[in-house]
Amino acid sequence: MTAPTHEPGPASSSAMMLASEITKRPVVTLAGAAVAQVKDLVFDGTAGRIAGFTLSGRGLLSGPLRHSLPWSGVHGLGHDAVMIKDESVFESRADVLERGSAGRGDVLGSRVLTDGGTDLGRISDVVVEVVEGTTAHVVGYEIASSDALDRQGRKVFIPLSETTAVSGEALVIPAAAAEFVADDLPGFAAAVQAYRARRRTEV
Amino acid sequence: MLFSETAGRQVVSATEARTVGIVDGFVVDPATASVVALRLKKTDGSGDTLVWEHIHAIGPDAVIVRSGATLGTPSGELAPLADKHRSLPGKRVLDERGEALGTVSDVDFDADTGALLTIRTTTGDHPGKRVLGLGPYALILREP
Amino acid sequence: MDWWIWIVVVVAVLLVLAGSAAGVQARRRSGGVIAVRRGAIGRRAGKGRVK
Repeated sequence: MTAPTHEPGPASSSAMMLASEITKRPVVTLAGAAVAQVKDLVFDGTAGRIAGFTLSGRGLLSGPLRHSLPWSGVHGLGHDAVMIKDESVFESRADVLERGSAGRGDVLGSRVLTDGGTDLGRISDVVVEVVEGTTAHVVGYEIASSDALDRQGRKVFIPLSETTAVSGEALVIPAAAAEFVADDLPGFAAAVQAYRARRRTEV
Repeated sequence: MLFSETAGRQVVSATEARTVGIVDGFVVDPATASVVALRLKKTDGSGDTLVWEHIHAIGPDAVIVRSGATLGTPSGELAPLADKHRSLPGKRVLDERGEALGTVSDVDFDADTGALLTIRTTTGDHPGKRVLGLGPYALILREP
Repeated sequence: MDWWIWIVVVVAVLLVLAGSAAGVQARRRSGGVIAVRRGAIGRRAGKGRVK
């Protein structure tokens, strides 16, 4: 799905990251100053697209910041820092969070239900696929599994589909997605490919 | 020439044949990827910064300064660059995608022009032309 | 009571205060994942750098 490029290096293809690894990452300008750290990851609950990040200060006593980082201001999202051009890319927190939009909430801890009504567990983390360090989507969820998945309560990864709806309360997935569960991130990358291929043939 | 070889070298004025200080550090301008001044220690107190234009030669044993050269305190455009927090050795290195490339272990520079030739990091060498920014947190390298 | 009891009490109070301050600070900065509705963010999201 991602076209290979002429550039070598680990970030030139796509990389899977967990949201919990992205939060707390420093926000660094191209001039080399760390101006904030990531607090929350904000994403479009339907399309899975990353909308931006809320921020907190980097000082020992600093708390949440009034301004946030929209995705359009992200120069690169790497394993060690979120790069921005300079501080002018920040927008107000409300603009990034779109105050008043319904269905907003922290998805960590939300229940995962299949459209058949089975409870698969609770969301413990969110898997983000970053392509070229510059485009990012939520591609799946890490779930602390319930008995229904028969994984003895271990954490498993489940792919996100285009039709998945998520809110701060619950996530409803097609029952078919439950067949593409993976135990780790490398396995999950393959599961996402298989799941997408399957959905393409269905359409 | 390497930063590590040059640091600790005597700085001698050509006219008076007098030691004016010892090389302590390097002031680097990321916009031009070059050394723009030397920071000295053990000076006579008139200042600790020797701008590049005042250097006659950086030799294997000593740095010779031009006649009429003066030390000063960093001012104007030099002031923010001369901040100790921007010192390169030991500085964290990131590329513009946000991937870590280790820390700066040494820098190879052109003794005639001051241009940075190679940034040596704990994970490998990078051409000086890749320098994009240098701040209190990290040295940023652009994509090759 | 022995005089040193008061040193112990003061140290204990300071430890409790420092611990609660650290706890509050950790909670203020702890992050999460926030889902928002489609459409509201479409106009500005997803504009990446194109190679």
